[in-house]
Amino acid sequence: MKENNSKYLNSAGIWLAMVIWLFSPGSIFAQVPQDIMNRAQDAGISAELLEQLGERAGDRGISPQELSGILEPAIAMASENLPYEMIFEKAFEGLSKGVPASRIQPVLTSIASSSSETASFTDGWVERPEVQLMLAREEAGSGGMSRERFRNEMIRAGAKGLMQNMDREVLEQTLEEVAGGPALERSTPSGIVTAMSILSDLPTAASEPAATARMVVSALEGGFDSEDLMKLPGAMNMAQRRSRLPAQAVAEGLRRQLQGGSPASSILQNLFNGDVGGGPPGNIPPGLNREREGRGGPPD
Amino acid sequence: MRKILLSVMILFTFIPLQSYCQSWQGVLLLDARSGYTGNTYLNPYLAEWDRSAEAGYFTAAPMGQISYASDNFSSDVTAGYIYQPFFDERDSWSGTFASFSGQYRISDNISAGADAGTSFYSTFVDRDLFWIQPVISFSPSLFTQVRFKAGSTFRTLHNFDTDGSNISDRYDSYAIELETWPDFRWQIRSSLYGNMSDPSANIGLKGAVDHRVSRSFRLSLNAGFERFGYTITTETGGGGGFPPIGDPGGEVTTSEADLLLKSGLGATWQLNRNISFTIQGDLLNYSSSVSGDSFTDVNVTGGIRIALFPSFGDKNSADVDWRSNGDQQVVLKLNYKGEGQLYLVGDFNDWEKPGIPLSRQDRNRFAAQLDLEPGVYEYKVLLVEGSDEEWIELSEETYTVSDSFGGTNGLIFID
Repeated sequence: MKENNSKYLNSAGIWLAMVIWLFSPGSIFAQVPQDIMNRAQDAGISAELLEQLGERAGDRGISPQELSGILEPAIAMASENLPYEMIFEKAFEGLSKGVPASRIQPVLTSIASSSSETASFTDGWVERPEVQLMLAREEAGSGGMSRERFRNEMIRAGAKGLMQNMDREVLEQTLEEVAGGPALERSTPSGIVTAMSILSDLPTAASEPAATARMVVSALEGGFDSEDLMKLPGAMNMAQRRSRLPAQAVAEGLRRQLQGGSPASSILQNLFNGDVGGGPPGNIPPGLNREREGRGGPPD
Repeated sequence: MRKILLSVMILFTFIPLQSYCQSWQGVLLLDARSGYTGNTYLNPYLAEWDRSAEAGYFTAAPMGQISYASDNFSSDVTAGYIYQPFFDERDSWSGTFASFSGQYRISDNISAGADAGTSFYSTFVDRDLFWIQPVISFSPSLFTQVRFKAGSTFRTLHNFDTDGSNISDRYDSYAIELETWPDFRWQIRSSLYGNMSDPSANIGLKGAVDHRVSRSFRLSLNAGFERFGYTITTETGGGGGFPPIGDPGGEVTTSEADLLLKSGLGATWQLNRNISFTIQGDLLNYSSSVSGDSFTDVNVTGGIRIALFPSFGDKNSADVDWRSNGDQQVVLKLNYKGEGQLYLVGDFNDWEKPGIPLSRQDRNRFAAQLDLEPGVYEYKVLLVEGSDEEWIELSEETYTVSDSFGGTNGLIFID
């Protein structure tokens, strides 16, 4: 949706109209250094997004200097052909939530650097023939996620992991295992994006990153779709509580068991559920006992 | 005393514990089924031995369970009521029960705790039961657990003696239970149990195998064996005259047993998270070592189970559930207990407030439909009351991610 908008809005005519508006005396962009605006234009940033940002920054009383600080990471990402829309989304979110610009800027800078680092290994991975084959299969089938969107979502997911202190090596290793095994055949682009996204949310991500990555790959190979994968973090927490095992044991046990390929959530929620009611067995039912009394034969 | 304990446990089960929402989970179940039985010992709930008639019956069992878990301690309280009318001249049966289970993790593999409970069943006899038994659980892996239980059960059978008086007894029992999941499609449970005072006389062994055929369909097979021993004392010889003829008079005690073999086959179809349908057929074969007679009884049931998962969180927590219908349309449903107008705000509307309004479906349930392209979207729920705005926290059950500003966002994935 946004890719299409960007494509159309980046046309010169619309840009011209926007530039007139942006530099009108009442616009906050009129006070943003010209150099930054030129670089934003040269990087191909959507004029529509700039307009939106300008309006909201003005409403929130953001200073031109603070706005420049918000724009810089977006320009950096756009210059590297990275999905700079992430910067605008996070900026809009921060403004909407009333987060001070001084706290928004470092987050945006972190997104830009993490995205750049992620793209350095995901871009090559997305271009691999086996991955392209999966994308072609998806396009020929239900349509699903476009190639550009898949690439952008992979960058987004990887950046999220890096920002939550996942090791880059673990993310790379995960992608290697996905491409080298049956996961590509059994999953969808959305499933792979989801798997990358949940990696850092699993309870073992910090302590056992490699085992966590192997488990997620096993889930993909087991045919887990996005919905199932999203339940894994909660299901693992539940299994850990019920089994009273350390998270590492949960991850390793789950990885071994995922080969069956059934949804994790419903099964893990039922783990070690005992029977209810009745009390312990172990003595003669009163009815049977009564029928025995004074008898020489069986009841009835 | 026991009735007070039961009342306290039931009360404890159903009180919404608002202040501990992070660690509490609850479920309310209604199990309703109808069937035909030749021996009520095969009934799923009120399993008393009554072969007086072959008849149809109905069972309704509302139950509630609350679970609490922290790092090393977990517990659950369960309580329920059972109502079972018969389709013949017999009076309806009913019962209430409550049980408590608590365990503390001692090490990575071992935990210790106790089970306790009480039940009051009114069948062809009024029966009170109270039991308590320490439990040791050993988990060699996540998917295998062995439980060792031993304890005492105190039983009162009202007006059951030959003179119409109550019979109160105590029996000490043990159980060794194994539960394992060879893979995600198979669940195996077995248990060995018996009476500690005479382990060889009263002993049972049962096992069940569940196979998940598909995401919504499950088959289960169970089999079991029970032996209930007893002694028969008979007088022998002693003609009574003089001189004595034959063996001198006396008593001979022989050990005899009732043997029960049980097996069953069931199927469950899970319609959705809340509703499942089940059918179950069971056979019981009885044989007596005294007479050598044997017979086989049948029990067949079918029914529905409705499960509700109430939120015990405070009113400022929203439980979000979303479904994609395959055409990039997302139906998002939300449980929320407060007042005011709710809106969805997120990547899909560039976080522009107030956002997409959620329509109220009933008192605590809201819904919205979104048209989204495949991808990943973060969102938040905004509460607007007059001129006041408040971001609603999402419940523990809702998948959330850090928003990097110190809060969390919900996440939607669209295939």
